[in-house]
Amino acid sequence: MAGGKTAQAGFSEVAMASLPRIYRLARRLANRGAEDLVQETLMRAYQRFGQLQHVEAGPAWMSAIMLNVYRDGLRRSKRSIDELAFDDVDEYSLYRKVEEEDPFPYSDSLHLDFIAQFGRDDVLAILLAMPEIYRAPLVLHYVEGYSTKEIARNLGAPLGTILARLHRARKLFERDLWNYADREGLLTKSHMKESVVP
Amino acid sequence: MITCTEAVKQFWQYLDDDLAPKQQQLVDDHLGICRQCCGELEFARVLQSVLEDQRSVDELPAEVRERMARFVKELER
Ligand SMILES: [Zn+2]
Repeated sequence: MAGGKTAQAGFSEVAMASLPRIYRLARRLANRGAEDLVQETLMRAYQRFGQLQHVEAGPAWMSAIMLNVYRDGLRRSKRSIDELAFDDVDEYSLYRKVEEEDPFPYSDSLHLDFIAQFGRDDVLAILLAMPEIYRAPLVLHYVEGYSTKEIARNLGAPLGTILARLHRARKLFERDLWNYADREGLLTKSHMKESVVP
Repeated sequence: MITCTEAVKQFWQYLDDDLAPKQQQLVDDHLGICRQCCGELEFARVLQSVLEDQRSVDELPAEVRERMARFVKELER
């Protein structure tokens, strides 16, 4: 193992530099299983550390390894086939829902006002509550910036399947935004705030 | 011509530049005549930015960082 020592000395640096990114990804993919996913990723990355060409590519390289680990986990647990049977969510439109319910009657930017009620933590809570098979493509595409083709390749699923899940995921996300706002009182609170102002 | 429902179905992919040229043209044509859908497209853009905004959340708790640092040290032994 010539050069192994130098490579290994660099591993902890690459690992620690990658940690914020891969933990964020792990949390959004696996929620409570995030730390396990990070550890499995670190183990696999350590074994393959010799393959990393440039240290700057570390975080992206680690993320790709994490996707492999995640995919293998899905295969083992058969979680990937838990497609949900949905009523009419494919046709759901948050835009129309907000328009119909009109939570801010005096607003002339109703939809933006609606979205402004959500903090980052609210959005994270909504994402984490989504079924995993829909959350994964949504997060990988819109948060992590992977293309749909890359997601299909990394998760070992046909592109058509990923596109269909992504579509459903977006619709679920829209519906969950409304339901969350309704449940958490985001709409009534600000409503009251506004009616107090003369 | 496509209907509003068909147009809306493709908005997110439209925003991603992920539609085949012919489909994209159909959506463009529809947007040219439908104000309702222009509003809906604008909203789809806002929803995308809400998701992209999750990128900037820094949420690595100190104790996780420490646990993982110890784990890496163990790996290297
Ligand atoms: Zn229309």
